[in-house]
Amino acid sequence: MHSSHVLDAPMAGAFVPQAVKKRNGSLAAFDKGRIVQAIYAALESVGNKDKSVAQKVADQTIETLKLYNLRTPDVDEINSINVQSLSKLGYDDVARSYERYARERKKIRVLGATAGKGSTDGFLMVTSINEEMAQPWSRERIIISLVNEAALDYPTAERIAKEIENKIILSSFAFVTTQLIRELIHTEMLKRGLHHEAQRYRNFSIPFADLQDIMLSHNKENSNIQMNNPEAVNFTISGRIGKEYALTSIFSRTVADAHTTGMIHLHDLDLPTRVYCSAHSLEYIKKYGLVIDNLQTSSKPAKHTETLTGHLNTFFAAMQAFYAGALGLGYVNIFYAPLIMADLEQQAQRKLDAIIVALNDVQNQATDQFVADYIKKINKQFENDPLSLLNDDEIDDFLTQRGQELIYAASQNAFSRGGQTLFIDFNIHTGIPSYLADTPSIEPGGKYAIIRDGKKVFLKEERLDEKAPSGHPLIQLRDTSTDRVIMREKVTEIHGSNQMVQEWFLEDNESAVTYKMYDYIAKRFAKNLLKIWHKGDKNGQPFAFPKCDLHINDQTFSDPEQLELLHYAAEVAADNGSPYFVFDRDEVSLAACCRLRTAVEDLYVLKHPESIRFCGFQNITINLPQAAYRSAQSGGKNLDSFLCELDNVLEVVIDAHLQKRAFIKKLQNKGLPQWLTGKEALDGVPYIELDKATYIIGIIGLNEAMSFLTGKQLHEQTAEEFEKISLRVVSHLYLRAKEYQEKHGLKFSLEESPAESATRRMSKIDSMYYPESKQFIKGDQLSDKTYYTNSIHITPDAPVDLFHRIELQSKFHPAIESGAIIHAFIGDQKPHPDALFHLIERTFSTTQSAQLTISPEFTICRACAVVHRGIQHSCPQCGNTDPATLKHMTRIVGYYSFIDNWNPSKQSELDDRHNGNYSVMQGMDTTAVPSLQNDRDGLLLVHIGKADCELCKDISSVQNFKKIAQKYNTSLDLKTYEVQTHEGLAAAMLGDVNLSALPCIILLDEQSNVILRESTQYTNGIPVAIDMPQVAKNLDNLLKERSK
Amino acid sequence: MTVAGIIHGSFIDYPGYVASVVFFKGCNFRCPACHARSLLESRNAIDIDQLCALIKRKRSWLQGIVLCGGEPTICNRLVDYIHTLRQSGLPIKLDTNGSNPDMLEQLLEKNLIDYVAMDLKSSPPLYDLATGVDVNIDFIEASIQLVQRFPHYEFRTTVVPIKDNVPNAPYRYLDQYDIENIVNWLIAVTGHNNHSYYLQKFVPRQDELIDSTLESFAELSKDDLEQIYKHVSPLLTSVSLRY
Repeated sequence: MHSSHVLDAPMAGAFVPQAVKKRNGSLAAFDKGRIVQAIYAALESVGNKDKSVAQKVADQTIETLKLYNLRTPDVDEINSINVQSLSKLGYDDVARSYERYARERKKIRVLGATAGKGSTDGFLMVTSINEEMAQPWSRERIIISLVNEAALDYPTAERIAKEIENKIILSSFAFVTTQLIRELIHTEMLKRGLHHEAQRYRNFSIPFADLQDIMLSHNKENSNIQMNNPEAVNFTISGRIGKEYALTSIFSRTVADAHTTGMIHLHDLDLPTRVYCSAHSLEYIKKYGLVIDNLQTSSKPAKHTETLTGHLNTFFAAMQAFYAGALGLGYVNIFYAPLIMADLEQQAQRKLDAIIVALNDVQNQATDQFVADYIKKINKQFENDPLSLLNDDEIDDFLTQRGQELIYAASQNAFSRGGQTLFIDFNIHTGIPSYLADTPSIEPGGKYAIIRDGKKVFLKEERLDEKAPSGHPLIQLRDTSTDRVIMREKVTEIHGSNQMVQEWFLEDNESAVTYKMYDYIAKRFAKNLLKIWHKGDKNGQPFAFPKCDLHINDQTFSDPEQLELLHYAAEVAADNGSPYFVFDRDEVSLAACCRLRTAVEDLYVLKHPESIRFCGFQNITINLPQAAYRSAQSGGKNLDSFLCELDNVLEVVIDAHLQKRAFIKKLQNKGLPQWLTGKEALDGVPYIELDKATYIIGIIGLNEAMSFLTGKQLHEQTAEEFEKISLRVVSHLYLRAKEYQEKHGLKFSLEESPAESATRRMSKIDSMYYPESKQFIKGDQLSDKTYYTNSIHITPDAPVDLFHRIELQSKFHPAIESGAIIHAFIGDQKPHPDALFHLIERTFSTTQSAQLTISPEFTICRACAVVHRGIQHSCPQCGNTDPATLKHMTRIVGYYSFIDNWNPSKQSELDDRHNGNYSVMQGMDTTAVPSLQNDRDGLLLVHIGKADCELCKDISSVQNFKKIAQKYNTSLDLKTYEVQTHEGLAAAMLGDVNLSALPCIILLDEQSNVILRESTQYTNGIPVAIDMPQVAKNLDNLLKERSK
Repeated sequence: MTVAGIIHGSFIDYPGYVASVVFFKGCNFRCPACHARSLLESRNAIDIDQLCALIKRKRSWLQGIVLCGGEPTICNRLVDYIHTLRQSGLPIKLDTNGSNPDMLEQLLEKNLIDYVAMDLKSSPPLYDLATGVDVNIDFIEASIQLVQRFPHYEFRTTVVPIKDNVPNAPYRYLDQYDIENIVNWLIAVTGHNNHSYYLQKFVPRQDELIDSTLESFAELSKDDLEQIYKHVSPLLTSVSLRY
């Protein structure tokens, strides 16, 4: 035993010490309690928790101090005496522990004081993983960090730091990590009830076993990650931390709990600093070139097709960093057209030059005049129509090459987000939509142009000080050769709202270059792009990405060229299902990407397509079945209680959106991660305007919620149950979302959730905490493959035919503005293209379905490079059964992926799809799809309008209709609805009414058949009222026909 | 009633049309590779009113109705049924094995059918083995003659496994020579080669085949099927493959 020399000469005395000399030389009042504490700590370290022993030992120490008459002992002296006292009273083991502790403390003090000044031998080293360096122990550093990070007051920080120091020293580590220290501090803070402060001091970490798992097993969170790879490992690890951060720090406790208990699903939590999905404009890149801050260099606007594709690919790869989900691209075939045209003209020019050179070579006396005439003629031909010098093959070869570059590159851009293929939507149009026909097109080099005397003249764009209502700066276009302003923009009032208009000052020999000039090229490019999608990759495997979103509108059916394109698209769909048929039923609804359908209210972007971009801000899905179980527990198993519970959930969802919004808003400040999207973009407004983004509210499991509440699944409901309960639920959510929209000035929209991991997580949680769910959850519960039916879909194994599915599901679509899609799962069937065409046409014209896609199943054998239809467990061609090279593919949710990448729940759903498809022989669909009912004796005119719409208020012509009906001895009753009410909205949904083409009138006969239907049409965003006199005539004819 | 079920929304059974397919119960053949066993034994029954109501409900989606089976022509009330179904205004296609020329004649006279598809199961010598019953080839040939007088028609052969007419013969696929014999027979019976003829791939379905041993029979490869197609396609004006 080592002891201090001062104790070697005992002297008699009887004073209790009054003060203690601290190590820094200052004096502190003598406090027996602190001695007791120190001794108790030593006792505790050997498992003795008897406080009276500590008292006893402390008394002994004081006796000793008195004995030696130490009036102001120093801390070391007291420690030495404490050790003696312990030994004396027979606590040798405690004495040893105490002594070791005192020794270690001394060592730390000495070494800590010389930190960084000499050898590190014998230091208690602290390894900081983040800084990748080891540093000597320093209590001061802990104190500083506690004060700074957790905002603790200095004394509390000091006490905690000391306590941690004690713990670490007592545990005799040779070295510790900062992480361990933080863990201990966190625990210590919780122990002391400092919950709030502890939150700010927590560690985000991953257990070793999980990390091991991430590195050494297959990631199935998202079936778009084709294989594990180092990027996927990083992605998953960072995702884990990101998720934890989001749940503890971006969202409130209530929101986080709602997520972890499966009440809601916060999508893409692993990417907290990103927004969700997006649509971008080629015209933005075409007009401004490739200018993105994190690229070291910038590019001028492209002049050639290939250059644009290069820009686009870089643009996508760079922009994906800001979005967790899809990147959409609008009007691909249209916006490419000006550059394609320029390239083809150049090709024609080269051909012309070659012809002239060749002709000049053969020129001789005899042919002189003939050749000269011919050269004149061919020059003229070139001037009139350069492309006429090229034959069809030359044009198609060019389009195919450029198309392949575009599609292959977009399909193979698999480097970000863990090496996932970019989720890209290419929107293709069968023709130029009328709202773009007269829009000035962006020409090669990013310029606008006019045609003067048959020649293209490029114009200079000048920004004006004034701004459009949307905040975009207005421009004027100047012809610099004549210094004349050709077009100037101004703001003017149209139909009660301020709109930007373009005023043109053209001479008779001039015309603006607009998109309608590119009708031919746009259609031809569309055809060639479809051919590439048709062919698939080198093995014939369909392209999962870029998705082919083919837009269908009225013009598609009235223009024979567009119709032919649609016929071809049906053939492609029959062969490999690639196209998604997107239905644009009125002109101003732009389907931006797979998730968003947005009505354009501000006409600015229709004249400036470079500014057409959308952002789906965040996606939060409501677990409908769980809300139903919960509502039954609190308010009974009934609709009112369910709707009430949904209101509670919706409030949490809105809060979650606002919380994430506040966070992203912060990140849009200078120097922060979303600065690029928050600062003014090249078109004068921020790239992502949070006030204009769409805040998505997904829903899942309506089928199971209905099953729980009513005992019937969606497809089993009667018309009344369907209208009064199922449609009511969705219309309730829709109208509530609109109320919040009003309140917060933000667009909230309902979505058919693309549930992959959400369906698994929610059903799993519910089966644990809501035993009543067991009866309703789909999939194999014993083998942990449970799921809920997606969104408002009919359950996959329902014995209903495809028409029933389309009709029923599409009734929800008017209220679902994001991601509404109907899948025709056709298994191994190979439909006839003409039959498919008919299906597409019927779906467009008789339902409100937003989108339809044909999803066959494929087996792809990479061993013999053949694609077979259906799921084959061995290759019919070569017998291959190796899962590494025999892949099965179909759509998991909204996109194609390999089935072995699917999570077990989705695989179980696939089995059920098969039961649905192939059980038609047994299950006969005998229930009618619900529709509007007429409960009157005579005819019933259903008038569906909006409360605040002038056109909808005018029902004067109805009197006239009544008179007509009387003429034919029948009565006609009127029932009016406003879609802002639950009844009105449900009626509109039931009646397949387009909510953006109101008012709509529907005439039902006595058997509830629709005999007449008219709705308001829109032209370039301006409503054209129903022609009531014409309708009256039609009604008269109809009744005349009937009375015969 | 002899209708066992109906499928709405077939994209393959009526070429180019979205069709409802009406399945008749029962068949006078017992082809080993037939995968409609459940239909032969079905207890489902739909009466004609129910059938019409179902079709009416889907009317706006449909372009045609296909009658198949089983074998529709052995239903003695077929003519009545078709009369009723025709009220829908939809064209009607009949799939038949050609064993009932009398019925075909009636349908033809009354102009009730728009499209007939007739199976040629094999060449005459193998017919009994291919169909599992004794077949009167005269009837089949009479049907062949009638079928070509309908507004639209096709002949077709599913390339199935059959057994040769020797004791203990194993199953083997119809080969190019068998198909050639069928085609030549068709030409001989009709006196010309201006026919639409389809070769269809046999896909074994679990639990549905008349001879369940065929469920594990390997599928014919695309190459083999194309080989047969190449072999016989010069013989007729139109030969096509259906996978």
